[in-house]
Amino acid sequence: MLFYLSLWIAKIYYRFTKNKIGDRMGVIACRLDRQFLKHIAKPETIICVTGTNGKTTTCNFLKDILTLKGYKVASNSEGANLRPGIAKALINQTTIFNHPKANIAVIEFDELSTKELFADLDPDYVLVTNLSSDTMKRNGHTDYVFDRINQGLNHHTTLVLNRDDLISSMLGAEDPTIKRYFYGIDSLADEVNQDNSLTKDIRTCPYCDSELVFDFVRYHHIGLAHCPNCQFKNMPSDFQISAIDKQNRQLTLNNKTYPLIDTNITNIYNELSAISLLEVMGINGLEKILSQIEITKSRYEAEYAKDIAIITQMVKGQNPIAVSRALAYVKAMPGQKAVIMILDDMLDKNHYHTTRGEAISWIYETDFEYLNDDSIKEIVVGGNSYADLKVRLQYAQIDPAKLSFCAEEDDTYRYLKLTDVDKIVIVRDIYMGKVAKAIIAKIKEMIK
Amino acid sequence: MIIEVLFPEAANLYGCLFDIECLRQTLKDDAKIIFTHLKDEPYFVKNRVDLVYIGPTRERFQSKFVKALKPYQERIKELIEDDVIFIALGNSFEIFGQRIDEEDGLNIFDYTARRDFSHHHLSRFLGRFKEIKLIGFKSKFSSVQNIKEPFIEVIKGDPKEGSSEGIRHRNFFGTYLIGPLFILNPPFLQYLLHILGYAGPIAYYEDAMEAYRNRLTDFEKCDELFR
Repeated sequence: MLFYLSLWIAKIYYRFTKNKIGDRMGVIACRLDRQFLKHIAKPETIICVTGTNGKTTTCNFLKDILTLKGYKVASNSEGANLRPGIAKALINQTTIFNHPKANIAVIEFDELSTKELFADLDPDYVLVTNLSSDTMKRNGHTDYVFDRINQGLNHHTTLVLNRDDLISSMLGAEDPTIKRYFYGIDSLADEVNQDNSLTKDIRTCPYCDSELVFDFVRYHHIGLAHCPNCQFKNMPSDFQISAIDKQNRQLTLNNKTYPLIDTNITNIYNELSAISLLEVMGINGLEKILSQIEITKSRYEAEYAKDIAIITQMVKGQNPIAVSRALAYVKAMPGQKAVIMILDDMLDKNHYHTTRGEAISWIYETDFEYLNDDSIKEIVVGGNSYADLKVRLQYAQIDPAKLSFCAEEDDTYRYLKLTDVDKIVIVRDIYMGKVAKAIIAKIKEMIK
Repeated sequence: MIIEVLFPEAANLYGCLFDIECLRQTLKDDAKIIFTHLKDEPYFVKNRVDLVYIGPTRERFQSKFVKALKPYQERIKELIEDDVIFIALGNSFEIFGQRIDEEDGLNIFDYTARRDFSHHHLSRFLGRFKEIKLIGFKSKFSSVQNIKEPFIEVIKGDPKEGSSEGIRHRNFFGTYLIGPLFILNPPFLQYLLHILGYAGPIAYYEDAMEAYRNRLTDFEKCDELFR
């Protein structure tokens, strides 16, 4: 009875609230019935997606593809990946008599909540994008996160794992009842070995402690490696991209051609992981549907002020891998660029008076060296930690004449010189959306 | 001057190796930096070194570090008593104690450490060592007991962590503080460099001091959860 009361109250709340985006209805349901997620009716198939980076984008891909395929999907794909967000996704696809309206649930979940969540959701498929250094505040280090996921896996679950990530690809390895499938990307024709990242979350063999030999590094520890002393190496791929044609936006996967949704390598991994999972599920014929899929706009936006493109790249701030990837992408963008970085965590800023708060260590794990490039003409850093970044960017040997700093994010636009620049790239933290919008408005006004 | 960095392939969390980059860019040709890997014999076994550095690690490596260093336990004691600087950061300083849970440590000091993976401790820290204010962060799953020679007097920090932080015995400095410690604390780096007999400029000193002062101001104005 408590469950039904929770379900109905949550539904009534949602019916009348103006805030449809937040996960308040899920909070209400989970508070009223502590076992709400256990009790709520589930769709026939449950897919859970986790990993350090790419889980929201991958969930969005999966949700969009499955919807276009005609499935009714329950999903928390906008990124609320704790219990209330998941509850909300399921409530919205459940009748008042607790019958599921959806055939499939695509659930993004927080890595650390695996055990409790899987006990309630009992997923059929678990897709893990990757495991790497994350915001220290939440995750400590990768061993800790790996153990939390591994200990929560259910026996009959099917895992879809990234072969190129030697950490997450070891999930479920010691449980023979778990089916494991692997996806990966070959070393491609135009790819350069990028064995220069500061952060490499696995450097030694987990079995014999010998230093791993990396045969190819795509970025950080993502790539191909083997132990010179024992048999440890990447698993063989079930789903393998062998070629990427960025010009024609196509990829070749197991000798079939698929549309390339986005050219950013991290999004290629996200697309590959989604296709692999769907193939494992026996859902085929994705070629046509993929051409209709787009990256969620909030993650990457482009607009123009006269002849200058203003591009916003959203990243999980304080996450060394995510920020490094974004900076590598900025470097690779064609043209001459000005870069604005607003990477402080707004939540930390608002809670700066407590002992909790993010350490600045992450900037010393992030490859700001990507910004040391001739195509980047100027860099403006705004935010509370500007002085720390001033030190860090000098360690990256960036010409001080290119650098400007200010304590307030809102002021960054004032420091732009825009000489010989055809792009302004704003690299912003997730919670800096409004600030970025205000900066763009000011830039447009300035260029008018 | 010889600086030995122990086990960089594993003792490398939280950007700590930028401390070494800081020393490299500061000391330039005055320093020879040696990176000793887990399967190597430490350089300090047969040679005099000036500074030994070991950064924070994943807990599963702690017993491997102990195993790698155990044969040289007496040599480590000798170097410490001979005033060689040891910097052991994060959970790596636990290996110099008696035990970590039920695993043996190097037994150079009396303290013991306990892990608790159900609780990830993260806090900011402000303390005092001599006249130097030290700032930094802690990220850990363990705590130490029975430290007889504390390193830093706590000014502000998580009250559950006690009134002192880390261990200092002669020039052995062990602390949970991460940072990178040297870059975040130029005055402490200056103190260490003075012991090493170096009085030249520190890499990006003015800007590092600006960041240090900003953080100090922030931390000093905080009241909540600070004592």
